Amino acid sequence: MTATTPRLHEPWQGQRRQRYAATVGMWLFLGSEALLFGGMLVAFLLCRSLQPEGFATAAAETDIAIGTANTLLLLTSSAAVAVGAEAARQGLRRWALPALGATLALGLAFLVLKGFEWRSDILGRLWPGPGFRLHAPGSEMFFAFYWALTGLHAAHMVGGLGAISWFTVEVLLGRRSLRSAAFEAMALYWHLIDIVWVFLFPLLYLDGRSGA
Amino acid sequence: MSAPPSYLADGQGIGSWLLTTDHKRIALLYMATLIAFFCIGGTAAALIRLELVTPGPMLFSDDTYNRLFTLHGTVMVWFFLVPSIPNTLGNFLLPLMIGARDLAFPRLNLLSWYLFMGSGGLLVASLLAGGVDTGWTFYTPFSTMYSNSYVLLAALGVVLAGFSSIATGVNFIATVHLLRAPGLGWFRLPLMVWTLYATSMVMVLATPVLAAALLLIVAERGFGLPIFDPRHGGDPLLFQHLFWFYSHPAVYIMILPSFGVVSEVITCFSRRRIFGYSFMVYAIMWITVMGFLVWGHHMFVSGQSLYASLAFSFLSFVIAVPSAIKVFNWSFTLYRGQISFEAPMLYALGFIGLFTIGGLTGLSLATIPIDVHVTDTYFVIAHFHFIMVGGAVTALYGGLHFWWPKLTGRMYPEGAARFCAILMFFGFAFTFFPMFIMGFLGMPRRYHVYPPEFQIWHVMSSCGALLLAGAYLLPMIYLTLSLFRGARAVADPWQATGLEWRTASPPPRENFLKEPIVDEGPYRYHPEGQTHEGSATPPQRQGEARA
Amino acid sequence: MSPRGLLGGEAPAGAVALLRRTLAVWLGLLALALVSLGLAYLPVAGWNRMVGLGIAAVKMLLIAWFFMQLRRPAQLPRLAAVAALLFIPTPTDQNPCAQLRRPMDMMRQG
Repeated sequence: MTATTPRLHEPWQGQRRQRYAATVGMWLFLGSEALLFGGMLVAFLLCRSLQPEGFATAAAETDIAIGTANTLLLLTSSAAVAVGAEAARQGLRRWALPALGATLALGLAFLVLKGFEWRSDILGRLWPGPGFRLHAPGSEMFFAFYWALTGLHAAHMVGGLGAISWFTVEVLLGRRSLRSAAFEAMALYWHLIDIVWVFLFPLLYLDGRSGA
Repeated sequence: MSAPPSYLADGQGIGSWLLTTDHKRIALLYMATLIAFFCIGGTAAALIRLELVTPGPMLFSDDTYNRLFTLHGTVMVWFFLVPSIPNTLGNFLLPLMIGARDLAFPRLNLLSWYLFMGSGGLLVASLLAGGVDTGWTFYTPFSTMYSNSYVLLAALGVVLAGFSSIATGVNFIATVHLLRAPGLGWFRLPLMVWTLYATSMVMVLATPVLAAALLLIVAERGFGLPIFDPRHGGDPLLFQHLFWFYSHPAVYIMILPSFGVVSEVITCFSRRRIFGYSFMVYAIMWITVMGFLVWGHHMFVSGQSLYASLAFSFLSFVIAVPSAIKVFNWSFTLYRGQISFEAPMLYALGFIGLFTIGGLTGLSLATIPIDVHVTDTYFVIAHFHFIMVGGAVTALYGGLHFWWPKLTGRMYPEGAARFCAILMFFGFAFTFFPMFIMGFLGMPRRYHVYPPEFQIWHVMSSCGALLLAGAYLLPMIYLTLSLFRGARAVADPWQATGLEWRTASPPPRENFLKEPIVDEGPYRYHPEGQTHEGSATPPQRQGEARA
Repeated sequence: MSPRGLLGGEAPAGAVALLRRTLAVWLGLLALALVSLGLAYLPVAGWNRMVGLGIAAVKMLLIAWFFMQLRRPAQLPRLAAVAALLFIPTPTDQNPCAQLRRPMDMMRQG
């Protein structure tokens, strides 16, 4: 059974144009997101260059197992949403829906692991403040950025998962066509969130491991 | 065949307004919100000018005065100037000017208004709770560690307003790329479209960095995460870099649309095409890109490296060139034109004069030795008010008058409008020119207690402010009255070029009955081009519509 | 409706081709992630950070080119991607020469 044709919204009068518009619109929004995370990462890099030893010492205290697992999960979810979005575009329901479901599951797994990681970080006294565990100058600032960056990233993931779920449910309820441009747009968003994590991984988890 | 109803009549009741996706109605929603914010920011200004009449403290304590100028700056920058022309005139006119039925993403447009309302709510909450005293620039470590005011509420409000801005920018860029009428190539676009496009580029790329800076403030102040705290090795200058990386391009958000308005008005009321259209376009794009490279000129005395300061100073000189190109081209457009002095033209001419003065003093400020002397004085205040108020607000009023017939289907009273335009020019001059003088003589900004030798300038300035306030308020009155008593406007009362004049005043919901097809460039006025009716005479106000 | 018709460029037609292409890129990404993990533990003073970021950049390019469909010859998405990268603020104050000539440093050092 082929998917229904997506609804045309004002002011679009052709499917092709509307789909391209959704892609363009999302890319422009991703540009702003890149600047948001880019701006924060530049701030992080500058602070790191001012106190490199402290940052490296602190970075070695992050949970490398969960960090790596989360990286692999997120990369896989990116692959899944790539399959899901392209299959949706081609109307291949049999592949699109499971792929989108896999994206959601992997994303949720990421957030669950992150929850455990945050919990153990807090119990390990890695929240900046009077009881902070590490004493090297700069280590508190590293963790300030750690919480800010991973928090902002997680918030973006929650938003992304929410939107993908919403659109998928609409398809299941028959209220949205599988070929809707929404999936391609959400896939693009998801990939950007993945790219942000791809940069967070070396900066927050891999620094200071070599003991050099 | 009967004409379709105008967009104002198409759907009644509050729901049809609050849930509209019609870009024209959303423009009016924004206009109402912006008038409210203009009044809030303007009241703060009035109170400031009142306080400054005497050298000693008069009405306010130091702390209250800090909150007043912070309120004025925050509201006027983010809740008035940044959205002013783009979200009112831009929202209304952009689809019309390119022959489209609506913006690319009408529902996103409505969302951006709701985001703006939400952000305004946060700001008003911070105001009602007691206000913020950090100055609109939120410098650390005062804002993060020492201020006893509602920094978090205000910062989050500004961040949310930024999202509204980004949404508008995304919408406009996609619209210009994807919805132009057949035959409307890029170099046939009216300059207003170019400036809205350039503004949108800046909105999308610069605003997120402000969000990053303010979110880091929220992280430090709200969650105790040390980012700018020197006790943890943080550098307060980092905040300034992030803040100004956005806030310098932001001033181009605030002025670029005005360039577009002035270009449209000058050409129409001198009956000439714009001189040097391509160079105007290149100048717009040059300003846009280069605007991202000069932010350090706000930080010459902050302690940043001398080499960085030199680089920023040089680049700030260079960025004056495209603005100068624009002023020259407007002047050459006027030259040998058939000039008539309708109110929009008076505003546009006022813009050119005041913006030029503002721009030239910008060059003074870009000169490091001068800046060291006048930074954080009233010289700086005068400079940016000449551009933002003498420039952008003047152009906003000019554009509002020019397109009033199109927005509302009514003509405004020309005599009253001309009076207010002239009143605005002189009121502005008396308010802000003395500030150059007292700034150079050493009057610091953000102080309400000052040595008595500055009083004469402050009194002059506050008297000018009275005139200026009148010039802002009177149009609100007669424009509102015109809605009920103004002569009905024809489709093209100015005999202007531009697709927006090729449809009814006010337009129907879908803008054009038939999609326009464009086969010529913009500004086809006398002498090379013919006007729509083939006549080369100056525009006559066409008040009464034919039956 | 042929996928080629919708937006041009070589979209993998059908599920199998799609899966195959995606699988290849995915395995590449996983490999790069694990390599960067391994390299982080090598005692190569100073280079670890650069290499880690370099690998991250390669992963970004893979994701952008294949998953985000930048291989499709569409003008606007590519322009948006380039613009976004170009405008990320570059730290100007961290040049070592600049560091040495900060007025505060000069005052402290005399």
